[in-house]
Order: sequence, then C-alpha cells, then structure tokens
Amino acid sequence: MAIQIQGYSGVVAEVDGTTFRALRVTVRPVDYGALGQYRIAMVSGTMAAGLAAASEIFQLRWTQTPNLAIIWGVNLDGLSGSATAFTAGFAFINLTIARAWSGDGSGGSAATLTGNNQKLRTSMATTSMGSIRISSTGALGVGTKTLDAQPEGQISFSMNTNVSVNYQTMIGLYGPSSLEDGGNPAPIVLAQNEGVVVRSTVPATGTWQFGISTAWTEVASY
Amino acid sequence: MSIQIQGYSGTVTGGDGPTYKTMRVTVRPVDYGSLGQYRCLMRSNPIMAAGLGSGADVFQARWVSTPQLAILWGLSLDMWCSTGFSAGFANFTLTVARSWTVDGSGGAAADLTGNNQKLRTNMASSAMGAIRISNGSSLLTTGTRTLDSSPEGQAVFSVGTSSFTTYITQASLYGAMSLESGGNPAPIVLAQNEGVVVRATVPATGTWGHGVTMAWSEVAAY
Repeated sequence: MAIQIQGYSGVVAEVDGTTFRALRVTVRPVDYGALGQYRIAMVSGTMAAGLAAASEIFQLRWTQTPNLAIIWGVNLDGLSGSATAFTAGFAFINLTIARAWSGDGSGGSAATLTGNNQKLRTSMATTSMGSIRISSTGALGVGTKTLDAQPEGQISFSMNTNVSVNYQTMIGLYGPSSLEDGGNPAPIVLAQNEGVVVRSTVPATGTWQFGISTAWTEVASY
Repeated sequence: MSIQIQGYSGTVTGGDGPTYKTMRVTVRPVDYGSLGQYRCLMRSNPIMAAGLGSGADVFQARWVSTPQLAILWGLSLDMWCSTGFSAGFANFTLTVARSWTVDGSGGAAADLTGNNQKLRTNMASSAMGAIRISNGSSLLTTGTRTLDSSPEGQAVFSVGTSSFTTYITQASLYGAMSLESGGNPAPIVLAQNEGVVVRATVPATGTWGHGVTMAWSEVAAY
C-alpha cells in the first residue's frame, strides 16, 4: 500500500522522477520559534607588536537561560601583516569553548546587540547574546571562566619578515569546512554562561589586523 | 506492515539499498511560486579612483516590494588594483540596511527589467528595487536607511605598493551556508525597504576595481 505525505497546509510531497525515485526536499533553518538567527563580522584595530602568547582576541558569551545559542561557525576573515613586519616564526590562532563564564571579559570593542542589529530577518527577536567583543590593539581581559584544556578549532601557520603579507584569508576556525564532511551538523550549543574564545600566538615585532565572523541561532531547545 | 510513499504525481519513492536502507531525496529550491530566482554580477567600470572615504558604499541592493520577500543567499567579492596602494589594511564589509526609505544614487545601476538575471526564463521579472555599484567616475550616495551596528560579513586583508595585483577572488562576504556547520541555511530575509550594503575601506593612492555577485530568491512567504 502506498501513502502520500501531506504537509500542514495540505500540499502533497512529490517524488522527483522514476530514475532515482527521490523525494523532493528543501532545507530550512532550525526552528527558532519566537527567537531568531544572527550573524556578525568584527574587525580589529591595528594589533600592537608583542602580544603575549595565547592572548584572547575575540570573545562571545551567552548568558541567557533557559534558551540556548547554537554556534554554527566562526570564521577568521583574514589576518594580515602591516608595513611593520614580524620576526620569522609560527602563529597559532585557535577557538576554545568557555564554560562557567561568571565574569565577563573586558576591553577591545564590544558589539552593539540591541534592537534589530545582526538579525537575519527584521521580524526576529532581538538577540539575547550577552556580549561579543574583539581586540582593538591588544589582548582582551579574560574575565572569569573555564576554558577547555584543548581548543576545538585552530589554524597554524608561519609568519615571515616580509611586509604587508596576507597570512590568512577567510578560513573556518569552526564550521562548515571542518570535520563533519557529508553534512553531519555539529554546532557548538551554548547554555547560560558559556561561550567561545579565540586566542592568538604570533611572533614578535609585527603589527597586524584580523577579522572574525560568527553565525548563531537562538532557540528554546535543541 | 510496510507502506510506500507515493509522490503527488503517483511515483513511489525508492529506497537506496540494503546496506543502510535509506530513503532517497533530492534537494529542490525554496518554492518561489510565481516569482523566481536570480543572480547578478556587477563590476566597477571604470575602476575606482584613489582616495575613497573610509567605509564608503561600493555596492547596494535594496528590496522595495511588499508583501513579497527577497531571500539573499550569498554575495561574493572580487577586488584588484591597477596603481599600487600605500601599504595598509583593507576591509570590505556587508551590512544589513533597514528602514531604507530613500534609495541611494550614483554609480552604475543594474537593468533588472524583463528576463535579466532570471535563472529560468519562465520566472517573473525581478522585483528588486535597485542594485548599484560604484565606479571611478561615480560614487554611491547612501540614501536614507539604518545600517546595523556591526556588519554581517567581511573580508580583511593587506594591500601593498605593487601595481596590478589581485587581492580578492570570489570571497564570500555572505553565504547562507558559509558559516552554518552541517547545512543549517541562514539567508538574509529582506522585507520592504530593506537591503544590503557593501562598504570599503582601502589605503590611499591606489586605483582599484571590484566585482560583486549576488544570488537571491523572491518569494511570497518564507
């Protein structure tokens, strides 16, 4: 016996043809209900030379409860040297999950997250993200939190003594180009007082600039 | 008892095989009904003169139709130079514009009439209000609108003193899937008098060109 699948509005789903007999589907976002989907891109100032190893340069902290923030991806939108070159050495940029984040970070530039800012559709709710900040010229204040022992994402590369080098273009620190080949979704799901942190280690003497983008959905459950 | 799933036209779906016993599906576009899907590439011609103001608009797309929606799936950037720059940082951003009551002006405007930019000729003509790009002889004016506090997408890179250098090739300033690990779609959904703006900050002295490609669907509901 064959049955048909009828949608809520009465439309019957179609099969594409007799060669593969595939059911037609169209992919929709995770159901955010009365909440929403958001995206933000932030750029640093000119980072001063001599940043301490593993300094925090980007922070995103979720403080709401009982809702959750689903972090779909975090991109390094570029990391570029200036006319003040580095000493040759290795660089290491990583993304790490923060838990028990009871005291917010400080410094840098904090995003304005009120009103319609960063909504992907104006009818969505204003984001409840606690804070998002990026370095201006130096390290961010870390606040009070527990970082995982190892990062969840990274990029490692060499830097040299040339000026104005584009060391990284757009690359995922966490997200679609990474490890879940074939479409298995593996977002970072944040509960209250959890977040993600990007830390950097770069060689001495050079000044540089970088950008970070992230996309997230706020949901009642997942 | 086993049942079969029969599509609207009577074709029964096929199972893929005995190993995993999965159902076959084929992904179709969001249902645009009597409207359509579109793609548009614009390029600055003549190229941009030196001395562009920081954060100047270099591309605009404004949706004016109601009650239909424009689903912006992605926007990519190309950027190159003719005369070299003073060494420094460049930043191209994509930002959502809301309450866009007065259109921008200047630059080159796309011809969106008739079949232009349709991905299938039997689709409706695009109802996009305006798409325009700046060029060397005509910069864009902003019109009247509210931009989000932070961009939703960006490219961050260095430029140097070399002439005829390609800096950015098809970089995604916004991709509905570019940050969504596992395939959660997150397009920008534009209602009446909303749009997106690409803004550029580049160092002095260089003359340069840019191209922007944008893909969107026009739908009655989403």
